[in-house]
Amino acid sequence: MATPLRDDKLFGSPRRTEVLVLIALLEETYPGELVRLLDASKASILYIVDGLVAEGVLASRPLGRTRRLSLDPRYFAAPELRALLLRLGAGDRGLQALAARRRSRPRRKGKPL
Amino acid sequence: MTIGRDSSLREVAFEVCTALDAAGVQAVLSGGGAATVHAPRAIQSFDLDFILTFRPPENEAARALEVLGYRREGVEYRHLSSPFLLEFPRGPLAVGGDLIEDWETLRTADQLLHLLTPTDSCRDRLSAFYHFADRSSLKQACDVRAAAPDRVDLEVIREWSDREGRGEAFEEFLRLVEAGGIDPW
Repeated sequence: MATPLRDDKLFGSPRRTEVLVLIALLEETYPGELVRLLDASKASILYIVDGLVAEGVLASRPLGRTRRLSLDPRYFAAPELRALLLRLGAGDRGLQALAARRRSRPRRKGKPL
Repeated sequence: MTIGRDSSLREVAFEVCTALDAAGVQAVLSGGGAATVHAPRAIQSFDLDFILTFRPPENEAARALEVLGYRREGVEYRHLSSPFLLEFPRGPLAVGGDLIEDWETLRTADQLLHLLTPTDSCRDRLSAFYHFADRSSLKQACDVRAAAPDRVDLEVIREWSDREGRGEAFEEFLRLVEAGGIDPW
């Protein structure tokens, strides 16, 4: 789904901006989910994520065979960055729709989705 | 001395900081490395995270590290024989929302080491506990406090914790400090 941030290079590239805003909306995610929701290549998402981790903006924590990604709350401007990203997300119905595809509330095992 | 297989974290930290300083790079040791220097009997980190407070042309810093035997691999620097890794996380030097403008400088006859003060080292460790429930970081904060009880200002940490919205987690830290810390496993 095309999103208004498709042309937004505020954070270096449109895709990088989308990744950051989507992570802010989801609060916590993992690379595979970003690949699926953004219909992007795994290599491009990993490149962006690794760069943002190196910048100290994202936190990456291993969980089993995947890694959980979130905005790093230890980043010194974390509250301001999160507020900006959520503001950008509020103006992007496409990204909101992508984030809404995720179901994260508890569900009994075996119950149909 | 040169960095070798048997060099301690403290020795490596002094070597690296001194070499960078001579190259015009001011680097402050933070993270588990700083905690290890403050509480060497309780903590053993193998990561040396230096925050650069002044960033000159990158080549000069890289050259200084190469002379010490470090080679860049991705975002970290590995030594030919020492197990201690160097990383240079993006600054500024901060704990949570507080920028840090004062740090400690240890000196020997011909070397120096800039590092977080014990109070800020505690805050740095607590930050990982507050935001990621990382209890090994909580233990390290307790260890730093136990190793330097007169140099860890609990009131400063309490006020910062409140600003970070983690007053309740600070109370847990305080209870552990008063109980003598967390036993090693």
